[in-house]
Amino acid sequence: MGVVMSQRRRLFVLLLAVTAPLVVLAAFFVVISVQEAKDRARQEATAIARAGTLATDSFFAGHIRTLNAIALNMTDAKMLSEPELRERLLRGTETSPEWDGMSVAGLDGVILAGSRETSAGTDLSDRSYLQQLFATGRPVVSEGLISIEGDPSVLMATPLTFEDGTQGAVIGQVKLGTLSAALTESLTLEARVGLIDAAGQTLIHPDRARVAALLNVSDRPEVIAARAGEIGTIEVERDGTNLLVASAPVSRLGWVVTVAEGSSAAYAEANAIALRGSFFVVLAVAAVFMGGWFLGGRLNRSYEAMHEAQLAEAFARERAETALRSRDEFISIASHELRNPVAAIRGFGQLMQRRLAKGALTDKDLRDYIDNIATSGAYLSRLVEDLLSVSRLEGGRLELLRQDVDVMAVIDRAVGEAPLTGHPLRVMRPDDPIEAHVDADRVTQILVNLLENAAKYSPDGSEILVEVGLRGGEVHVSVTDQGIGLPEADLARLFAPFARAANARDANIPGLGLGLYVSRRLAEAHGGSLLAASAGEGLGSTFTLVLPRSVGRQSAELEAQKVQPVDEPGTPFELVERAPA
Amino acid sequence: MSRILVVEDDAAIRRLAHDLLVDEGFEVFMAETGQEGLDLLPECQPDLVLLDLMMPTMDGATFAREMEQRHHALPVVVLSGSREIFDTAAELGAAGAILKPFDIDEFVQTVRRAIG
Repeated sequence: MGVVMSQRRRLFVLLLAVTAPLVVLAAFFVVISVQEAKDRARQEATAIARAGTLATDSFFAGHIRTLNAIALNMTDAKMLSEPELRERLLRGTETSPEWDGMSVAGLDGVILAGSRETSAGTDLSDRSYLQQLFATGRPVVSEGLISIEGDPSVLMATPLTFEDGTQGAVIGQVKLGTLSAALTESLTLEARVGLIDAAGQTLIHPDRARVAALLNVSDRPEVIAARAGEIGTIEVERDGTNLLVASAPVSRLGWVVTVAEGSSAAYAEANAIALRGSFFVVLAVAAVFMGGWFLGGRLNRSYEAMHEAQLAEAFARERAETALRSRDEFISIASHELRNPVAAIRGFGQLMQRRLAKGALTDKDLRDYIDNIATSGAYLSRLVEDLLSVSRLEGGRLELLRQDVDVMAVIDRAVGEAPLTGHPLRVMRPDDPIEAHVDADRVTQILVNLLENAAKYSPDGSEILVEVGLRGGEVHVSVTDQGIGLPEADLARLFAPFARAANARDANIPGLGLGLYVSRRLAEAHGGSLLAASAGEGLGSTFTLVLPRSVGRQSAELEAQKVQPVDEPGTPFELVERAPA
Repeated sequence: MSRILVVEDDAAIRRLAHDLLVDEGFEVFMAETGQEGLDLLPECQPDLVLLDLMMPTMDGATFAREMEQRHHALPVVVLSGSREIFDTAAELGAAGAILKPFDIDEFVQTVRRAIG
């Protein structure tokens, strides 16, 4: 399977090699897109801040122009009575609802008249914006003021030259409500706009508490940066929240407009892109690898199928070749093994005739010839029996005629039939008779084979031991010799047809190599088995026939039982033996 | 009296060949294996070898080649149960071939012809 697994692994490595650069590329594009979206968010915030400064600038410029116009109309102020002057200033405040009062002051900073009756005589000389105005001669805007209601306003002042040539100032108070509305209206979402005056105080902010407290934020980095003339964004953490803050300076005034937005809101699009991008990249990778997995599996299966087909073909070829080899081998062995006893029977028969005719046949020769003929005949009949059994087994035509039989009687019969000349036999039998439901002829055939082998493969005079016993529900009959034993390498193939142990061939012992094959198949047909054991070459062998016990049938009922052919490699061919029906 | 060495692994056939050849007046030596036959050659100095082709450990063909290498240029009659015997006989330059099972008269005639 190692080879097979690597198919899937190989495909994965291939996919990894192909997709890795694509994934990197996709990730790169995602990062770029996210960056662009963030840039857009920053630019948007900056644009809002810039728009805020423009709005603030024009708001102040517009009101200064109004004040300038009023100032031109106030040159004769010193000639007028205070009520007349107040009347004129009141008209000035009507130019815009944002005016929250106006007044005219002399160079000494004392108010000549104001739109409010109480204003006249108030000394403003200590006010820095007025000092700045007199010092520069240019219009000024004061720092922010907050009314009791919390509404922000500023004071604006513009220079005025009286008819007598002395300097004065027109001062107006402007409420920042509309500016605040304008700045806030330009915003969407959750961005918070702030207007910070030259002193660093927050004048406009959605959080009215900040405005009411005139919160000083001059030390904040965005304010410092904007005062230095920079327009841009910074990211800060404030009160545990990440903020994107854009800031821009209001020209000349030293005021700053800030736009602050929670990073998550500001970068919502960027984050969405990042999320979508990552999702698609992951999805694509997952799809590719899932596809790879299934494709790999199919490849694997087809490869396995191919592999199996190849193996099966190779196996079939091997079997066919083995069968052919075995058949050739069989023909040559069978020729030799069958023709030798036939040649002996025919030859000795003829020789006896000839010597009889000459009157030259001694009793000793006669005995020898008859012995040879009998031995050859018996050997021949066993060979033929084995060959016919093979034929029946291979063709599935072997029928067992089972009866309840006495195992000891079968053993005695086999001992009588087997050629055991020169070997003392010891049979160890239990006291009680053992019955088994078997085909007596076939079991005899098995035991004759085992006994013949024991005699054939052990030195003359050595004892052969037969042991009979019951183990569990099974009858065990073992035949032990003191012969050439079994090489370990041959144990596995011993029961294959035409197989003979190497030491058996070398020892010049004739045999077809069918006896054990037939015997085991017959044992298996009974539902039993045939086992071989040996301590090694030269140390004897033990073959044990295991048969199921009698199943307690009432009568010696005849039972025909078909033996199924076994598809077994090494089976050379079917020996055809057709008996007429 | 001509001498014949019989190299045959089957005891019955060996005995049969021995008795048939003795009846014909030959002096017969017997070997059970090819090696035993080779070892007997210098001692018995046969005029002919009756050789079984199918023997374990050393087959007849190997025996014949070994014998030639040992400078015993002897007529050989091969004996076998295989029908390939005639091809093998031709390859070995055998003087005769006997297929088992055989008629004893043919057996004797083949040996007689081979020994000349």
